[in-house]
Amino acid sequence: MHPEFLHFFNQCASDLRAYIGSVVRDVHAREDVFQDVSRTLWQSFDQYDPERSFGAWARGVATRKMLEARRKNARFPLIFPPETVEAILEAFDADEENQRLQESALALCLETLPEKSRQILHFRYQSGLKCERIAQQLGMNLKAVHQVLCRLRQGLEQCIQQRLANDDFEPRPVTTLTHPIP
Amino acid sequence: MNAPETLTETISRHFDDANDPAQTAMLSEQIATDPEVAISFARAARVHGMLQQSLAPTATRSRRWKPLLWISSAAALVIGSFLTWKWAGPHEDAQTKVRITHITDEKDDPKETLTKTIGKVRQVKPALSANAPDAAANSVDLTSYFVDLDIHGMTVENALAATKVAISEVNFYKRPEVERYEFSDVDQPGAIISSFLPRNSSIHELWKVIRIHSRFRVSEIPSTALGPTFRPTEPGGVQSREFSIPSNLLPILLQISNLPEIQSSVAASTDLQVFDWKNLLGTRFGIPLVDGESVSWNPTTAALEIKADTNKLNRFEASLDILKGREWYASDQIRVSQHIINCREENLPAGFDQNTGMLMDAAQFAAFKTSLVEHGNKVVAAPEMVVRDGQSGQISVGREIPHTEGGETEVLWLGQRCDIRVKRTGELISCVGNFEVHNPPLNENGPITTSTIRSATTEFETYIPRRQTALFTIDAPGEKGITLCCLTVRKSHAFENVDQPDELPFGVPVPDKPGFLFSPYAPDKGMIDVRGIPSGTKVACPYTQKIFRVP
Repeated sequence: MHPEFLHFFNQCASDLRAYIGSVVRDVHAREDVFQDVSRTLWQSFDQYDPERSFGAWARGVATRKMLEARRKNARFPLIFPPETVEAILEAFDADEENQRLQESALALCLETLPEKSRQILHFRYQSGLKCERIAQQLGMNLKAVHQVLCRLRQGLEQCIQQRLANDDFEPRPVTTLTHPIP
Repeated sequence: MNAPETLTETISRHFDDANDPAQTAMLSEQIATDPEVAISFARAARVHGMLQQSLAPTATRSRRWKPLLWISSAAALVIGSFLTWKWAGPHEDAQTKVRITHITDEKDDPKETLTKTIGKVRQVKPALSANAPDAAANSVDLTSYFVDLDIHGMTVENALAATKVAISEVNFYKRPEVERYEFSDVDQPGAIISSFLPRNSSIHELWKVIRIHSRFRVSEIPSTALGPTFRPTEPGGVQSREFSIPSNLLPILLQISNLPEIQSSVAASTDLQVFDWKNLLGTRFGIPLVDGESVSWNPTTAALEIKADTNKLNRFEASLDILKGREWYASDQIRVSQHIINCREENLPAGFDQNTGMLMDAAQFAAFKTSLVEHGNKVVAAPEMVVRDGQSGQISVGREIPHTEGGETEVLWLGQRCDIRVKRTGELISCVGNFEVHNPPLNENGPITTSTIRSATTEFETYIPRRQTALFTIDAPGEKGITLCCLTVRKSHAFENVDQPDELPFGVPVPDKPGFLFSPYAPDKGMIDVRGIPSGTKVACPYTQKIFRVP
């Protein structure tokens, strides 16, 4: 029915998830929104204007869903007020990059990190530890952990931008990101 | 206080849930007012999201990617449609895909349907108890039960397992009597029942119904099955008790008897007094009466008076309660309405395919008919009939013409004749048959003989949802334009008196113009051509769309 839907959706799924995750606090609520948005995108793909960015369309749908959920339920864990969400949406749209290239660049950047940094990222993302636990594990104080994580993210962001800006950059298959892509 | 020192740090801490409300409010305000901050926030969010994506543990990953999986699979299944209909061999991921396919129903919430399993048993017959018993009790068909299962998205193996469960549910006597069950044309092990597209229809719902046709003969019910688990106590002594028999249960009791000669002799209630109740109690209820015990029918109270041991009386009472608790059903009656319409090709409904026809709901069909008439097209006839589920019927609209040749006179028939077999198929009603058209010779003034009559036959097979109308073309030699047959089906109440005369008005004959009428609803509008339409046939007034009869 929509042979190109998967192509578009795969391109923007993780970015969509990142967007939703940045404004919704609860992980389960994020998941619900993501599923709801995914389904809506699938059902209304006929209305998608190919002239526009699919990611922008998806984020627009997500924004509408989240604000609607907030209107209906005051306890919906939206972190920011609507105007801030709109501003974040505009920023995402304005700064849109090829998601696959970014992921590929990030994989390369991760390989260049020192062992200690990788360990912190491992604790934070792979083990899902809170910063307090990471501080305990590594014998650091909490503020130091926050600062390290901040620097790591910032450094990775710059690394990604540099790699993407490099004309010689060749994206690798996203096999280093081990999630299954159907 | 572990306060961030910079905005960048505040943004970073946001993704660690480390900001307090005041910091979040400050961040929110900055994002809303400063696009640069918003951009920084978006970039950080992307890095955070990618890190989550690339470093997340496998265990949580499967959950996170479930939507993508179902969308992928749903897309694959929908795109493939019938390609997925028959997959050769077992599929390793069958169970996952089974669940995923449910989301193709737009009304379903995928989170809910992920755990949805199967449908429910449904007995589709109207209750006999709501009606007077059929005069000819022996002809009451008590045998049809149906199980509708939503097996959409199930593997055939799972569907079979579900079917077995359903059989055990539907067969309340715990004696599976299933004559057959149908999986349409899906019998490939491991195949996923993903979609069902009725032929000759525009329905694209992705659903599938298994129909189980259970043939259940009440005359074969073993006597032990009628009673619940019943343990006789010590002999209680002979007592006399009266058991009221509801009118709806009476024909059931008579059918339970395995004495057809007695059954056939029972035509009136007075015969119940000579009915061999003793035999019935002994053979079908497992309550043999001995000397000193008796049973008789009291026509005044419509009750059975039984004089027997208390244990036997209790047993009969329990059995009777079971029978009273059952819903007894007669087979469906289905009303088939037909509209034969001559119309110009340009007046066919949009999207109409002359090869496959189309379906319309009631509102669409009404609008279509109005539109046709407004454009000067003609509803030739609108007959209807009522048949039992699975029965065949014939609708004829025509005239007989005597023809003499070589001294012998034969009767030729001109008109349209539709033989049709109507049958419930899950939620649809299948109509299979053929449509014969016998039109007069090309030369209207020429002789009408067997050889000059122009005939054509159109075979059709269509599956129609209740109260919808299937439109298809029929071959009608000599007719101008397109001849459409519009079949509307709806379930009719059991025991509905189909012959009950309606109060439709008759058309007003035009003086000196045989075969022409004025509409009783619009007598000043003009003549209506009803030539060839038999008397009594219901036709639609072309001016008002109201129905009247041909006098």
